[in-house]
Amino acid sequence: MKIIEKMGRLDRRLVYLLLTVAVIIPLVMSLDVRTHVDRSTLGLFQAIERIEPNNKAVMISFDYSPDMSAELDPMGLAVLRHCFARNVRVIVMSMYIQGAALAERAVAQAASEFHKRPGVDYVMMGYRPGGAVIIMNIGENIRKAFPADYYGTPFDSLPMMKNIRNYQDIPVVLTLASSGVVGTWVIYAGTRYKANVASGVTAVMAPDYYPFLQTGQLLGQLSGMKGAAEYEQLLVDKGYYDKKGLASRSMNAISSAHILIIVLILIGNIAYFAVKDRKPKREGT
Amino acid sequence: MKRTIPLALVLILGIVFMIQYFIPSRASQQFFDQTLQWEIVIGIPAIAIAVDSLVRHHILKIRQRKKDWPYSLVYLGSALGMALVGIIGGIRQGSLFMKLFTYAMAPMQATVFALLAYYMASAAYRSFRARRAEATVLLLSAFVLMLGLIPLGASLWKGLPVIGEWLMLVPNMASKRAIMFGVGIGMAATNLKIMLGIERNWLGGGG
Repeated sequence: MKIIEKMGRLDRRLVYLLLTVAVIIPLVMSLDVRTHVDRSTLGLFQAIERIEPNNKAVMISFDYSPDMSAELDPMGLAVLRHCFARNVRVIVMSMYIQGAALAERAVAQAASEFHKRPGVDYVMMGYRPGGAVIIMNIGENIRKAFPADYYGTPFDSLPMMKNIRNYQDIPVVLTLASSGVVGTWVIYAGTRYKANVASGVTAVMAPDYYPFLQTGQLLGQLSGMKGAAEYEQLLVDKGYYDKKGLASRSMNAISSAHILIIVLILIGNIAYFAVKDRKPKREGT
Repeated sequence: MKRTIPLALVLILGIVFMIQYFIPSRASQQFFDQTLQWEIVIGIPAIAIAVDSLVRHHILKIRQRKKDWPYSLVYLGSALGMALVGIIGGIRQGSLFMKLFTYAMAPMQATVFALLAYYMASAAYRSFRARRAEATVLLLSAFVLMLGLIPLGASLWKGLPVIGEWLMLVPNMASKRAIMFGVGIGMAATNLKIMLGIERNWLGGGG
């Protein structure tokens, strides 16, 4: 019985150690496990599949800071690879000052893999302060929101932007977000300007946006690392990319961490009930 | 006067933009377009004011030797250092600024956030107990969701991800929608109170 009691009072340092081991081992070992693809992930994937190559552009807004990059970077990279593999043009921007640097890193990596040229195949618009105002500005006239790109190239000198005026020329707007900015995109870009908004959010935020998915106000959503892993799975399945990325590898670590937490909760409950049954019952407690 | 003019502006512009939304004429659209430009112009100096306020706060903390003042020195040094590196060497890929951002700042921020996983694991182990029927339902739902989210869940039983998705799409969505309705009505009420001058906290100095 003492062992059970002790199991209910594990030192927190032991819990930390177990979690570290549970995360590191699967990252070191390369396990190829298939991920179940959600309808919300499929919604975004299919929307990008429907875009005609070398015509209209997808807009990806990197609306997060580096603390969330572990979850959201793989999403951005997976969607950029999808677009570039299909020769779909991309407009990259950020509503977060630090997001611009993260966006630039992601787009530079994906562009080099697919030999895409800035200004022609993609445009890096960078950070713009203003939040909802910028979203509405894009709806009115994108040129006013972005008179020049991130590197100072004037809007009119960007060949890709020649026929892009507002959301009508942007079939998918994806916000990769770590805050309530998804709601801002839905309200202003989606409701006011009828843009097709999709989101990529951290796992803890994902439940907040299911109502928008059901109403169709979000055409798809990538939920945390799992959403990114699902997207990577779809890219490999469709032959757009030859190997799964970081998110798929990280899912193994997340899997073992989840299992460890479930086991710990079970141990805690077994110990709780074992001790509770032994204690004399008191009135009113 | 300092209070009357902002209050009048908020009331008039609030009513004007409520009406503008429902007028699809060219003139109405141009007016809206113009005000969007003004908002951007107003928004940019706000960043400068925020930086100024933050710097003043830390300088004051260092001067008065308040608790943890050496951290303020680190902040000021880092902020000034990054700004100088960016201004002198540029912020393009491969620049020193981007190297500092990619190899120092980003990993530090990610590490601090990742520490949450340890606290969550420890807290779940210590406090997640099936004490009552409601807690048991919550516990079982959490197990299904946690297993449904990972590839192993589908390997154990194909129904787990499906049930997990159902939990998110039905009970979760119902509760979220109820909360969102409440928040929405609250926002509308607060906006009306601001427009009518009942809520004046935004003017500073309390309502």
